Amino acid sequence: MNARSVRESHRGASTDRHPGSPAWAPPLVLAGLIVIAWAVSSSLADSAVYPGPAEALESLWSDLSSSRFLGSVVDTARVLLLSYGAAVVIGSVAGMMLGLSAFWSGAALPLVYALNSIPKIVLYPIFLLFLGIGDMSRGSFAFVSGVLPMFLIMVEATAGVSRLHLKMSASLGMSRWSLIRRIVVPSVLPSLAAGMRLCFGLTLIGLLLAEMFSGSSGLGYELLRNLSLARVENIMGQVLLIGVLALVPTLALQQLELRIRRRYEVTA
Amino acid sequence: MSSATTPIVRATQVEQHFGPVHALGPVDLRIERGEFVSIVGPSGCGKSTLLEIVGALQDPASGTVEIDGAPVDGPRRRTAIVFQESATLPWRTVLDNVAFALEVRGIGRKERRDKARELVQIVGLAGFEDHYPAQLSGGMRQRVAMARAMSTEPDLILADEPFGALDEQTRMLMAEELLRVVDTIGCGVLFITHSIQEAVLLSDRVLVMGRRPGTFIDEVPIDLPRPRSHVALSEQSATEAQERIWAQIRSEAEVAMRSER
Repeated sequence: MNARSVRESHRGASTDRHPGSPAWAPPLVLAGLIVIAWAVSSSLADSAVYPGPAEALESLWSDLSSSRFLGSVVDTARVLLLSYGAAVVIGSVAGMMLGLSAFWSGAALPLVYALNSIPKIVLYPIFLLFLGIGDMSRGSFAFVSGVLPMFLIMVEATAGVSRLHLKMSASLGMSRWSLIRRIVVPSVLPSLAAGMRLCFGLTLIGLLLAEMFSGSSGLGYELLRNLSLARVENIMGQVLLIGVLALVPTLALQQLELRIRRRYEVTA
Repeated sequence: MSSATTPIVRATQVEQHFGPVHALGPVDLRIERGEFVSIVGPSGCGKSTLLEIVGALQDPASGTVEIDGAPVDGPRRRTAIVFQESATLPWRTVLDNVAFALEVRGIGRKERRDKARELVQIVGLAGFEDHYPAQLSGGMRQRVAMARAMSTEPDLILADEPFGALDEQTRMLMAEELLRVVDTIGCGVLFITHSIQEAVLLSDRVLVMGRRPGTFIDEVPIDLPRPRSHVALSEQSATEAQERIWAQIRSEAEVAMRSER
């Protein structure tokens, strides 16, 4: 077997992954069809509590020109960024450290799994009690919603580092630090990327929930406020806004994950 | 201490227990410098355990191992271990995989990459330096592992069923490749395999290990001229050796199967 034939067969394999039409086209077409169905059905229903996409966008546009609403968007984005960043960093570092020790992961994992299986919202009153209403309590709640799954994914990934790779490192007499840097971190990268994607969604849910229950600003607060004012088209507009805000990072993280997997994982 | 007559491996009365399981021994093992010794035996007989003890990946329950006249007390610089094919690091290119052992030993980037490039040529992977293992076949991945093992200029190679995951044809090609490499660098080899054919083709001596707790039940010298290729397997002394080894393993495997039932 020579170099060229293998390179060509590999190219053949990679074109299988990208068939004629680009991968983003079908979901985009489907999304367009759904919007059309929404517009048609709402104009047929002609109901005050079922606005169409045009009305939703219109109210969103007028919301976005109000400085209070914009402040809410910025608040949510700021708290989300901080709590998400903290959840990813703390969850992955702590998870990796625990995963490196068979004893401690055996001792701590069952407890963390038990904690993680409690619906997080049950814990929210405790956050309110200790941290009061405001950035601290909703930020911490969002952080906890995201950090536990991130932590668990990283513990499992670290504990799952190939035994063969560990043996090979041992045979070369690698130091612990060298082992972490050269074997453990690269091995867990695909899981880290998957964890980051999952963690983002969960942190966002945690934050919006917290804002709904006890906010004076933020998108969750605005949602409930519009509900009490019965402004359905504003709610629809906000749902669109949150959807877009969540979708962009999620798609970016998905791309990151895909790239790492393609490059790193032996498929044969 | 070490001289031309000191064996590269001398293991004396080595035994291993895993909890209540008596896994290995006691066994004696002696490998001369530049000698190729294979161990064949039924699954779970302790072959790999012995290899890992010689490679300082496990400590024996009792007995001593000396390499090049010195007692083993940790990973040794000039001992290289070749594992199954999946021991290549999937996030590193072929070149960086081959350079890995040198990198761990603190060799500078330029020097280790030059050396790795040379070795990639020797194992026949020229043109694949920048490929990732996922883009290679199993046999090619194993060439990467072989090149990595050679990079540290070993005087002893320990190979633990290195071709176990490959198909029959690739196996035969890789065995010939290994022979060529070992002849080039002239190191001693301890080779663990399930394949009697492979053992006979490669070795100066084949040791047959009985079922657990593994001890050597036969020692078969392979009297074939070198350099060898697969053609040597059809010579009469080779077929006789294969039959003799198979007869031993078969009776051991049958007893093992009966006792497991």
